[in-house]
Amino acid sequence: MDYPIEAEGLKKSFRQLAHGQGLTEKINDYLGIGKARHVVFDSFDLKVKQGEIYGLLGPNGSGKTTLIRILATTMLPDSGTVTVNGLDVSDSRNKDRISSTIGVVLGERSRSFYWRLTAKQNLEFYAAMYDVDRKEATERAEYILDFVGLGKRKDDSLFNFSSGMLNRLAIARAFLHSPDILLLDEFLVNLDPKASYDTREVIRNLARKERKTVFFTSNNAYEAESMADRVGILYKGRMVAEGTVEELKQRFGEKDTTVRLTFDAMPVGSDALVRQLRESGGISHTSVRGTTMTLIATEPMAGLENAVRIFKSKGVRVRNVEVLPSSLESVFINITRDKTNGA
Amino acid sequence: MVRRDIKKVIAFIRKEVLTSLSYRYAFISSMVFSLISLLFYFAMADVFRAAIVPAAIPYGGDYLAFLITGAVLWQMVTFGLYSVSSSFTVEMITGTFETIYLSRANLLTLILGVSLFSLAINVSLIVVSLLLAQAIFGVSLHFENILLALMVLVMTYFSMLGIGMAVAGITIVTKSVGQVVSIFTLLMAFLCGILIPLELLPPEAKQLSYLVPITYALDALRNVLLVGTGFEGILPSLIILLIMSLVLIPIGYKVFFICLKRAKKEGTLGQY
Repeated sequence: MDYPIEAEGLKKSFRQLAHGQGLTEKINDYLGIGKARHVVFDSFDLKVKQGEIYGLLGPNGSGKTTLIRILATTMLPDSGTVTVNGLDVSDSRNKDRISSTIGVVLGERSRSFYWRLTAKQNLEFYAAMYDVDRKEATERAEYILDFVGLGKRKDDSLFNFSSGMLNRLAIARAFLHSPDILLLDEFLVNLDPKASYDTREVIRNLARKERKTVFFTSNNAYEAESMADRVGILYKGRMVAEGTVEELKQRFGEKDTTVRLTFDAMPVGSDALVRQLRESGGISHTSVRGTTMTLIATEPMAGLENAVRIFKSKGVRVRNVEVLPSSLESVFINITRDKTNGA
Repeated sequence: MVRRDIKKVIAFIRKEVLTSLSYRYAFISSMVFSLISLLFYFAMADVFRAAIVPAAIPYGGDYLAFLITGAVLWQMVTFGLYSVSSSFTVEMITGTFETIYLSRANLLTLILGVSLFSLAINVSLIVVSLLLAQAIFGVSLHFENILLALMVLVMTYFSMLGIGMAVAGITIVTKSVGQVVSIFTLLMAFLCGILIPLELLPPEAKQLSYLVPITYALDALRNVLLVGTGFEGILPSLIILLIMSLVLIPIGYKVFFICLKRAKKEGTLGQY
């Protein structure tokens, strides 16, 4: 199988709720006869190669979760062909065969477990649901829990688990029945940097060791860059760019300059400072993490001059200035900005 | 295949037992509450024990015993109607419904898994309440027929299961069925002879009562426990219950799948 995940001409739309509209529209909505529809995908194509780690990067609301749910068979496409391991996801007769070959981590991980059960009991229950024999399930659960770093917490109730631990448990569950394909929906959300790094390592190592095809979604360019063999950029339901990280950087990354500034301490009123920088001209994007600030300058000289002037007027001391090589984040921003501007 | 499905059902039961035991106070108090509710109803009914009700005469004439058998059967009817939809609702609220759907668990496994443990608890409660009714109120019941009575109760559950599956399907789409099922339940209560003896129903309603499975279940249960009728005596009622189950379960199954498909189309399977 060259492409275990394939979509061709996928269309998907949802009935739009008429919040804030008149009584008639609300009654129509309630009765399910509202006509307004929100189009998520209009002729969307995707091909994921055997054994690759593919990251789908897109802003919130671009259709990432919808796509994962369609691939996982919990949502039906309106039209088009979507196949997993060559099996049409729209055909309900394929559901069991698809279920056997995919491991899924959906959003809201904390809501997908039985909180009164221990980690091991949860995995044993789901193993039975996937037809893994009880003896094998116990062995596999212990092996996977060890692998994701939860071996010592296997007999703990989930009440004592952090978000990061629940994420790792969800990953363990996805690997439980040794699926060929992993579908991971924003699986690094709410994790601290260490937990995020550990989780990425777990996925990468398990995927490489067990030769899995991994398809994950994210709205964080750094996560996608650090994990994916190939990245697709999804914007308003359309694949606007696709390739390896290097290919994307070459094609879309040379326009702007990314500069990272490090401060002795983050100045008071940093939100106002960020706003002022964006409005000063020459700077298109600003993000702050701890005592560092990343600027994407569309006009490097003018942008930096403006930034220095603003810092000086506020008495902000810059400890270090670093011009960064083009990153997937800047690629992502360039592409989505161009699309927003209608380019 | 069947062996794997049985293993899934066992895993479900194990999960239900572990969960119930982790809520041990709630679990015990809900059982005590159910028992006290039934006994409270028995005590209320005891006030009217002296009344001569023509409908009770074919079953021995003890009006309290007549009401008690109706009460325990009704408990099983409401359980059959609501157990699947309420279990699915809990799974949707906790967020596990979608992850179970993602697995290889089929609908039958799911239904048996979520209901068998509760069914066992319900049947046990009914047996205990009948024993207490005999001990406290001196109601004369044919306990030698208890296995036959349990058979009637379990068949009543399965005759309601088809409607329960349809209700569960509607719950998946609408997320809450509101009072629609309650209205339907009241209508059945009116028609089956639990509230009003069949003889007193208007002729049209009496005709309709023959379409309600509970009518046959009620007659069978009262005959078994109050008159001491054996298996042969209630066989016609059991056959009708079986036929109704065989008709209603596939209809409920179909309704469930239509609703499931709609929820998948609308993308609301994981929502509540």
